[in-house]
Order: sequence, then C-alpha cells, then structure tokens
Amino acid sequence: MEIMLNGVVKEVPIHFSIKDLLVEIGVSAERIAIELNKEVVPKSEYACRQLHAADQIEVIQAVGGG
Amino acid sequence: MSNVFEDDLLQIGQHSFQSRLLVGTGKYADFEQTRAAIIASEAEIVTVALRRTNLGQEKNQANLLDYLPEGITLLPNTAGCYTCDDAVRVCRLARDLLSGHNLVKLEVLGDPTTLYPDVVATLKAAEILVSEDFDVMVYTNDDPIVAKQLEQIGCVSVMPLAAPIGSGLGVCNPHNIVTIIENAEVPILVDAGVGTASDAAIAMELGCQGVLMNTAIAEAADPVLMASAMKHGIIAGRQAYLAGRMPKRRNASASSPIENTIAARRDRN
Repeated sequence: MEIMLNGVVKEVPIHFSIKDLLVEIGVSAERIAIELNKEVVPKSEYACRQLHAADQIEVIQAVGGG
Repeated sequence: MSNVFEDDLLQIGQHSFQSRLLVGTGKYADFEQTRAAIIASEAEIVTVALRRTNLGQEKNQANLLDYLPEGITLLPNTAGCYTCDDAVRVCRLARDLLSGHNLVKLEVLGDPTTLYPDVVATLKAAEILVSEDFDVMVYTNDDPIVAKQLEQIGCVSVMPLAAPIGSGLGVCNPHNIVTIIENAEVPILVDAGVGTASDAAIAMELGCQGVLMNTAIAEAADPVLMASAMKHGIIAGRQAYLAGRMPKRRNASASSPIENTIAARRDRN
C-alpha cells in the first residue's frame, strides 16, 4: 500500500507499524517526533500503531533556527 | 558595588535566568561553531527549528541537539509556518520531541519577503497553545495593541521585532518598543532585527527584558567573537537602564570647576 512519508509517496507492506517504518528507513526514535495524519503519535505508541493506505506521516527533528 | 544587577533575573513563566541574551542556532558554518558561539554568548535559552528528517541521510548523522551545551533551555520555534494550524502542529511535535517540554516560540509569518507576523493568525494560535498549557513566547510586530492582546491571552513573553528578521537594521521604532514595555506585565524581549552589539544595548536601554537574536551573531565575520560582544552589549544596556541615564541638555555643562581658574573669564558670546 502507499503512504505519504515526509511529503513523498512510499510503498509499505500491510500491517506495517510506525516502528517497522523507522527500522526500514534507518531512523532512530530518540531524536525525532512523528505526526500521523496531523496528530502527534507518542513514542510509546510507535510499535502498536499500524499504518493504513494513504496515511500521511511526518518524521521531524530539531535543526538550527532562530 | 551594589548587588542590584546580580539579583536581576529574567523571569519567563516559572523559570528564571541570569542571561538576558537568547540566541538562535541557524546559519552557522557547522555544529561546532554553533556550540562555540552559544558558549561565548552565555545564553541560557537557545532556539531550534523543527524540520522533516532527511530520509536519504546516513544513519547516525550528527544531530544539533547533541552539540548544545549542558543545562540550556531549548526554545523550539515555529519558523516557516504561515498558518495557525501549522504553527500549532509544530508546537505539539516539539513537545513530544523534547519529552513534554512546553516552552515554545510562536511565530506565524505573513509573507516570505518581510517575514512580518500574521498577527491575526498569531493571536489565534496563541489562544490554542495557551489552552493546551504551552508557555508561549510570541514573536510579533511593534504594535502596542497587539502586544497587549497577546499578553492578555496568556503568553509568558511578548517579543516584538526590532526590525525585519535577519535585516540587522537595529531598533527601527524605539518609541513603540517603549510603549509596549510601559503597557506590559510580562517580559518584553526584542526578537529579530539587531545587527551589532550597540543595537542590543539600545534595546536593553529602552527597558527590554532581553533580546533574542540569530543572524547578527551567525553572519558576523567571527561569530564566536560577536557572541561575546552581544553578551557584553546586553549587560551594558541592562546596567545602563537600571542605573538611569542622565538627562540630555541642549548646551554644555562643564565637568571641571568653573571657579578659581587662572584663565580669563569668558562670558557667553
């Protein structure tokens, strides 16, 4: 199925969790925050939250800014 | 020496700070320079932005948060947001990223040329964030009415611009800044527009509780040296404000005694 990950279409298997997605893209959960369909997903829910077709996921981190 | 200055803390919400200089982390050559400039500035509150993780990057790529000095207070911003909804989303993400940290810098921009705030959207976003228990430090223009409204909504600090973000023009409308300060019951900080240490000192002499800056340090030829200069400018301006400046006079007032001089007396021409 297709999801939108940081604004780009990505193909993922069904029953894929947010944790599975992070493993696949090689991102550690420590220094990021995640939004699923414009709602923040707490880190404690990464393993249990399954993705669905057309889900919009944002993976964000802190960068330099003023 | 009196200890008036030593006891003079910046109070933001429930927290107090020795330093009245707040610095950003953008536009530096690298994270090492960012860190060195923050240390030289002795700032205790440091802003960061939130952006999409670059998913093409290598694993274990350096992260800004790992370079920031121990013990600083992070101030995540909503830079780049042009709508109330986006700014609120970014603050909620920041709270999760920073494990429940609720201090945020709200800015909702109006257009990319001026980077002036969209004050209508800013007021709306401030209301939502305050209702969600964020401590909101809010970037706004130098309009005293809007500044007061943001305070009444419950923002912990109101931060009018000195001049457009990144312009380095200095305090362009000191009269409005003073009016905002006179009306305020929360700390007023100048956010954006200072270019050099004297600009920071002027803002503090006007009675600002602090100054937030990024470009003035990061785009200096020697950012670390400028960070130190800004620290001194802020301290000088604050001390001058507390000391109370002398009145201005149109004509001269001799500093040496005018009596008993051997020189021939000169009356006014």
